Amino acid sequence: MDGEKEAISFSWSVMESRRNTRVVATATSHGVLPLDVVFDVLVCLPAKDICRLRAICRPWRSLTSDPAFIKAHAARHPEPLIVAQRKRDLVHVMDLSGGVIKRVPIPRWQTLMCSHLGLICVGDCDTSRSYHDTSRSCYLIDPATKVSCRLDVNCFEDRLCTSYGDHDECLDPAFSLFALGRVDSTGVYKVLMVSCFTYAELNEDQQSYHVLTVNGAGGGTRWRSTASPEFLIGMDTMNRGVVLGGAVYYLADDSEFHTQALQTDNTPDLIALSTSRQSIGVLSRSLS
Amino acid sequence: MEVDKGKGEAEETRKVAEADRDTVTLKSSDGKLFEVSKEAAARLSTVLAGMIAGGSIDDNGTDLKQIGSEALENVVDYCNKHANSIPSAALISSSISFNTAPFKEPEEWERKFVDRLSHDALFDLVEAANFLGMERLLDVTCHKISEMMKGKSPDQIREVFNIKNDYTKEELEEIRQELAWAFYDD
Repeated sequence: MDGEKEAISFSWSVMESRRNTRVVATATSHGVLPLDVVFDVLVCLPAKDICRLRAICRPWRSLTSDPAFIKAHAARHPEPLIVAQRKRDLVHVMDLSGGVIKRVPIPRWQTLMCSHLGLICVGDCDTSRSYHDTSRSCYLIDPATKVSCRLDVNCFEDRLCTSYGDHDECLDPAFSLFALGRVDSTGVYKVLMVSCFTYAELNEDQQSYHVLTVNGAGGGTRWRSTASPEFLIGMDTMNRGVVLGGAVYYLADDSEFHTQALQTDNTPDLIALSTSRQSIGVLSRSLS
Repeated sequence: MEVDKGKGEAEETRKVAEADRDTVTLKSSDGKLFEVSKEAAARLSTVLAGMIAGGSIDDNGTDLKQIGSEALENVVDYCNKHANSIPSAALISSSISFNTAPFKEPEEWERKFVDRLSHDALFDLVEAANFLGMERLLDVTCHKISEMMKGKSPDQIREVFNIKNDYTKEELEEIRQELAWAFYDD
């Protein structure tokens, strides 16, 4: 059930025409369709049928696994697909009628964070888990190839240290949220990480924001700290955010505690974090 | 006399038509001749359009050695029906910029056109359409064939497509396991 909530649609971005991507040579023999005609026939079928047809024969298997075919198929079937996590260590790629097209394994302990730009972003958001000792992690996964790329999220210290009574106390984030976006003007992929810290003793929450510029081949270059917004995003691991046009939108924290603490009437419902300018904007109460 | 006069007029019209060359004559692999409107041929077939533009059309019948008479008859029939049908906006746009246009569902008459064909005739026609670079006809025929595949078992599909199963038993089992989910209806 939770998986349905997490579902974020994305569409495979394919612009090339099927004709231009055609690579299969014609090999005619009596009564057998040439492979380039088979290409045209199979491209009409839904994705699930195609996978089933890989068991027909070797040429059909290599044809339907060919990137040119996959591109042509995506161009022919431009309906957006949905990614949902319904089980541990696995996400489902589904069509809009809920039919499962593909199951993509994800690394252990990871939770689906975001699917955008044809990629899936998963992260281990719960660092408080005592029974596993690896720290925070984040992966980008290409559902088409199942290739995953681990982003180094422990390369810097974002422990939060404050003076507490007569001693300094340092905290690890209680959990982190990740979102993948692209700067439209440059096409550069960026990952936003929101780390949430909870000071139980102080009854106070803090958040830190970092943006990673992702290299084309995968793997990060460098996380940059970015200014914290005036308002906190909702401190909830289910508040995964939505990426739209280079900005990530999170539901704002609307708990009474924060509203009171800010002593303001214009507490926002949504906080928008721009991946390009790394700036933070708020959308005031326009949603009801 | 009346009849003869009528014939004469028809003859005259045909001569004029030939002089204006608004049709092309195509010759099938078994030597049968078919006439088709030049405009429709050029519009619907990239290969014929190229031949017409390049002047390689033979007035006595352009040899299409790869295409049998039954398939060529269907090709010509399709061209004529296409020329006669009121072109919808969808078809106009698909014939102009097909490469980038999304697939358009077959129109009612196109569906009927392929539905009446036998299995062999359909497969011959799809090859002819492929050979002649007839995008729309190729789409309509491929769509029909893909519909024939739905709900068929791998064995049935191999039979329809005359395909030899070149997997070993072990490999097939491996694939079935790898793609097990694709064989369930969830």
